[in-house]
Amino acid sequence: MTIKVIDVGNDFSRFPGGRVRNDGRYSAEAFREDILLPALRENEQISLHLDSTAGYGSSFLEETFGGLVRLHAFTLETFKSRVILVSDDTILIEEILDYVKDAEKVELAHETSAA
Amino acid sequence: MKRLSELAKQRQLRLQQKRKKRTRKTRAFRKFLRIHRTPGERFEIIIPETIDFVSAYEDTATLIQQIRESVFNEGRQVFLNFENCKTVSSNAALVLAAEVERCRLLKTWYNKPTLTGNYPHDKSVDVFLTELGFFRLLRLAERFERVDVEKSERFIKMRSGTRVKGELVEGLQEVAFAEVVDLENSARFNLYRALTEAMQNVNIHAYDVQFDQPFPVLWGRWWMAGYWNKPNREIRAIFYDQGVTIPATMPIRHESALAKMQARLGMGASDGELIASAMELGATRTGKPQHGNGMADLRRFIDKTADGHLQIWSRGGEYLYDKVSGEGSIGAEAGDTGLPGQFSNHRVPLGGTLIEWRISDHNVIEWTDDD
Repeated sequence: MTIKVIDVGNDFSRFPGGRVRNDGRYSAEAFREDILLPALRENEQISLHLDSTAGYGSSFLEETFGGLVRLHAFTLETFKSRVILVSDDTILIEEILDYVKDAEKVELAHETSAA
Repeated sequence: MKRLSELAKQRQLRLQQKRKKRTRKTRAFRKFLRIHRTPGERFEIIIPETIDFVSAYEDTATLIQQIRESVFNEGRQVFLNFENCKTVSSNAALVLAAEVERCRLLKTWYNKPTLTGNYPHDKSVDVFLTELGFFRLLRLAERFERVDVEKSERFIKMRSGTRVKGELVEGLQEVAFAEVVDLENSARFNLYRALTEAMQNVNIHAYDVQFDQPFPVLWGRWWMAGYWNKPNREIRAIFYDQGVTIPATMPIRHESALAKMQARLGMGASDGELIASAMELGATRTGKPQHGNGMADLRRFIDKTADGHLQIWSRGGEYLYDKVSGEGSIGAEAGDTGLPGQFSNHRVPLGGTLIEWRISDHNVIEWTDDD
């Protein structure tokens, strides 16, 4: 099984912030579309190292990881199996998983109301 | 003498008429300038003895409003008289600097700057404003060399920008705090989160074309400052934008959620209550379910300390969240809503949104002179 290591601070930016590209140079959309997704397409698993940045806003985290569900049909199960979150901050990891979970709930609610 | 041909005569006549017309226009313009231009005259605004949005809100907000109206509505050249000013707080300094920058960039007075001023008699105020870069904004020479930071009692540094620029947050922390204060890692992380979320909020919400602005604005711009005070053992981060404000945008996209919350908690729709509601709903203006954690991030920095508070002024409203007491110290209008934090309302609007975080928690801040 191929595991690709991505260190957010070194492979993307020490200063992530914002949701979409218009918000700033190191936005969640840029990280998700330019770094995370290509790595997920080419590798079965990603090991995502989170501690090398100055910090993360909730907008950045929600758009990055919730966006995987909304825009790229990830589920919580798929996410957990394919993305290994590495951080000394367990609260940060829980927060990310919450965003994925919440995005999945919203998508399921949309599908139910559409059906 | 050669007789001029008819064509030449007509050409000469036309040229004479053109010269007369040009001279008439020039005379008329000079007359206009004599009537309307008073180059020696300026409108003086006396800066109050204390400018601080916490202890002297009305005076400070009135000052800012007076500057705006004089420059943009009345088209005057304004002279800021600092002679009697003895106290300038960090929050007032940032808003005043932002106002000066707006006035200077967006309005001129007969090709001259619209704002000028003098120096405070009080040396500590002079030094404080020098460190902020205030006199540079006013295009006045700074009277003091760079301050010896280690000997200072208080210090402030400002940065300004548009969009989300996390590197400026890191840079501000380095410049403003590094020489005297060590911030604990999680505090630095949470401060970064709070400030980048504030920038994000400005980029999405603050400067919206569907709202009328009473004065011209520098679109998308925010200002932030880092400040410390050694005798009080506190640090502050301050953030300001000149946008349409939380009370203006909150009700538009969250009408039903806001109405339910107001009904449940018995809250009204005053500016202070709308800010408090925004904090609790974690609401944003876009109405999308995935948005809405940015406001919570603003409070998180304080929640993770043992001694600190968050204060937000937006339009005429004020919100205070105090970590130590869990209550606020402002406002007879603060209602018993069961919400953490207190709110109040002011007669004079701020114009924009001002956020100030203060922490004094010794577990989170280590002063280098404590060694």
